Amino acid sequence: MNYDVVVIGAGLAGFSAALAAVKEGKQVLVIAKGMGNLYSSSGYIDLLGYYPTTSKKPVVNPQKILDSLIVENPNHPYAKVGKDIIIKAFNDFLLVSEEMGLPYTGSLNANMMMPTAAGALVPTTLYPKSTDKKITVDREIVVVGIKELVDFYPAYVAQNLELQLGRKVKPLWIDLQLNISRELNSYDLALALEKPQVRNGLIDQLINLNVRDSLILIPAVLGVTRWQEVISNIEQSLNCELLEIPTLPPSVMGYRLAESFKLYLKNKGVEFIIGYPVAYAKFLDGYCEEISIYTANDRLKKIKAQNFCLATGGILGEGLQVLPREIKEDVFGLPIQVPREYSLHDFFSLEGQPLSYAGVNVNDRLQPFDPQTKETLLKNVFVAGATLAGYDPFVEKSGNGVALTSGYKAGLLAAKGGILNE
Amino acid sequence: MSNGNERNLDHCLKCSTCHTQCPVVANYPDFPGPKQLGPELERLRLAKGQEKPLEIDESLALCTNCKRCDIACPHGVKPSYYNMKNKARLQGQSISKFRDWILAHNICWGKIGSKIPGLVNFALKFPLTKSVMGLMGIANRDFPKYLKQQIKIRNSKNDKKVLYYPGCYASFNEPEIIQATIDILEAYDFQVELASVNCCGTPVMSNGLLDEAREMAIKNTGVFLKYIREGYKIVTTCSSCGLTLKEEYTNIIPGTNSAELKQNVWDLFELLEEEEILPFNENKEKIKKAYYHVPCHLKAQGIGVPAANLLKKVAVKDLIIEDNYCCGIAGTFGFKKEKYPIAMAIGDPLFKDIKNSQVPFVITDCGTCKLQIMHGTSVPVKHPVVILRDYLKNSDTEKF
Ligand SMILES: Cc1cc2nc3c(=O)[nH]c(=O)nc-3n(C[C@H](O)[C@H](O)[C@H](O)COP(=O)(O)OP(=O)(O)OC[C@H]3O[C@@H](n4cnc5c(N)ncnc54)[C@H](O)[C@@H]3O)c2cc1C
Ligand code: SF4
Ligand code: SF4
Repeated sequence: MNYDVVVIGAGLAGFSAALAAVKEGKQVLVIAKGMGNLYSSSGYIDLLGYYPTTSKKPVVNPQKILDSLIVENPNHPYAKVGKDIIIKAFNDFLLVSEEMGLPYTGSLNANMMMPTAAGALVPTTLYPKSTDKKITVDREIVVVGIKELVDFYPAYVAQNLELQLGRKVKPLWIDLQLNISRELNSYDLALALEKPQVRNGLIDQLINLNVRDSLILIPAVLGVTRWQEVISNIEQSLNCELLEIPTLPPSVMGYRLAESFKLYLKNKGVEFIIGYPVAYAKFLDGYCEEISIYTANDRLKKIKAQNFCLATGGILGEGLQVLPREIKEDVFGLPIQVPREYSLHDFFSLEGQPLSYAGVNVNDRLQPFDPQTKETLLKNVFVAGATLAGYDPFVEKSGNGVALTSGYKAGLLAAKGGILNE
Repeated sequence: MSNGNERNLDHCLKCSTCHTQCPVVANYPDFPGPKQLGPELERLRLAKGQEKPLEIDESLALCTNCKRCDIACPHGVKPSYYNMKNKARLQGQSISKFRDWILAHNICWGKIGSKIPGLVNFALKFPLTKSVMGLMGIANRDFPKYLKQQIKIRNSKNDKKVLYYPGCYASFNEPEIIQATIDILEAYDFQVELASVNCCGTPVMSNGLLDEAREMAIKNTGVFLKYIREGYKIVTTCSSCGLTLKEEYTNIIPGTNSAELKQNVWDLFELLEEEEILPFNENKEKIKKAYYHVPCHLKAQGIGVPAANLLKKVAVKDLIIEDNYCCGIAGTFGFKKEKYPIAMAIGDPLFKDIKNSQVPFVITDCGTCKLQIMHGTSVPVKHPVVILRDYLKNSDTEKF
């Protein structure tokens, strides 16, 4: 098998790299051990939520803050990607999301505050248009819990929101009466609500609860693929606004993004082989010539490409393996600096965890390089997403932002053989 | 069963990604799904001791073994492995045992049918037979037509040697696939032999008859190894047979034999992809448009879509390649009365997609996918070899 660009990893970083490369007219293959983290994540794309990480105040205008971040943290992935490409990647994604049938919105100049399943308000940058509803509107706010869904407590959410908003928020319960004996999750409920009779049951209950005209916060279960129909049907019936709140995994909002993005790429001609990790890589003079995967029968399948993108998701994505005294990069065996301490005693420390900062060091072309010798290690490998060193996505809230933008740059570089002439 | 997959149990982080990929969950809400049935319950089963089946184990019968859960898992867990293993423990208590037995033994039906095709075709069309099958719990649907076999092999000697294992569907229902495969392999300069082995055991296994599947696997492996040691590569044209030889045998008969076998099995197009030559006529007019359905068991092999890639290169101008949907038949699953509605519901998005794309025909590697797609769409379905054979450079080989 021979491709222009092979992307390793099927998370947001890998998808974004594949998008950039296929738009350049390249033949692209995505290979991955399994599906990426999107199915567990909110589907929101956070550019930058808190800066410096110890700040308790959310970033209002992420684009403005980016300038100081890039100057102050030359090792941060955003410094390697550069502001121009960050902006381009975000704008391109907004366009492509329309074509995917899952339109996103948002502005790099203004973070939006979105409620979480715990009732906190957290900053995000890009979000599905269907969630473009200001929680500060004059409408009455109600939080609706669904009896069948564990781990979502409307009273708890409402109480926390009241504290932050300084206004009344009403908690309510409804029961979809599905009569299914097993424990259900958000994906199951989202499937069920695509059925008109289940949906009508929900609408009837909401009418009885007198929530017409309000802003209804509800766990994100309003349809898997037919979310548009589900949401507009309920909104029209109640003359209300519905704002979905991302749930614990499986996250339906993340699922929608993952599946729509993947399908879009397939339709553009990107090929996928999912289910098997990279087993080995062959190098020649600072280039990766070929990689192999073990297929179902443990025979190596060789895959050649001009250029590769490494988007294996860091520690959580299992692209980095944490061993007692060593951190291993799983595909190319790239060197990873081991932090003196893996984690701080305070798990929720706002400085972030040393382990989160560990990753592959790259130069401005996202090629892996050795920080000691400053030597570029592989000239046709471009690294993206959570495998990159130099940031903690959790404390600064930048996970999908880094994945989207570094993926985009890595894909562009891979398509153009490592040189971008802007 | 092998220990390899047992160890992966603890890697499950309960992310439920597998759950969102299961075609049965999507159509039948009572089905607990791969995460719960697989890794989650397996812990409980281990804690309780393997002997007593849990009540929820009943729903294992609904797992189609499509393996979409396995390949989606970000953490290397294979839920379908636990499902297959535990289904086997339950089999003893099944009420629909006789019907499962008949469907699991399609080779017997096949053998009788191919000797007296007229009779079986008649019998299967005859309403009485159909309603008797209805009583037995076999959904009322058209069974494959049986044809007589007459296969031609050139018998030329070569260093590149292939033992071709066509599997039940091609052998008993569509020997044209066998002839076309041989023609193609010979055009690629392979010396071809036809394997005289039995059913690979997929249907027996997916109906939970594990002991019997094991016996078949041991016997077949013995035959295959003899050839392998003489330098033959084992080639399949049915995705499910292929996956069974490549993966399932090492689960049901772990050891050095199945490990040696698995390394020497190729999907036909996986093998051809490694060859330098392209013995096709590039001047022949291409088919304008067709739809290629990727069988679940091809997708699970991790080899990409080699047949589709070749079709695009030599035979079809606009080939829609789809791997988003399971067709729902899942071997013998859709032939069962109580599962028929689920099978059709699973296949529905695929049927709609095919109808919307307005193609003259569909191409797929798997015989049972073919039956299901024809049943659900009335659009003709062909095996890739049947199309590609007509594009061979020296297409003077006598047509079947
Ligand atoms: C629960 C949770 C919720 C989150 N919510 C948000 C949020 O709301 N907003 C936000 O901006 N960020 C969020 N994040 C962070 C963000 O999701 C991650 O930073 C981002 O998804 C990383 O994307 P990625 O593409 O780099 O990696 P991943 O999505 O992890 O993808 C890694 C890919 O690489 C593959 N892979 C790994 N190793 C190999 C190998 N050896 N061979 C082949 N393939 C391999 C994997 O199978 C996978 O396909 C969240 C994270 C978590 C864990
Ligand atoms: S088996 Fe894999 S995909 Fe399924 S819940 Fe466990 S870790 Fe997630
Ligand atoms: S093998 Fe297929 S049907 Fe069975 S649990 Fe996995 S995804 Fe579902």
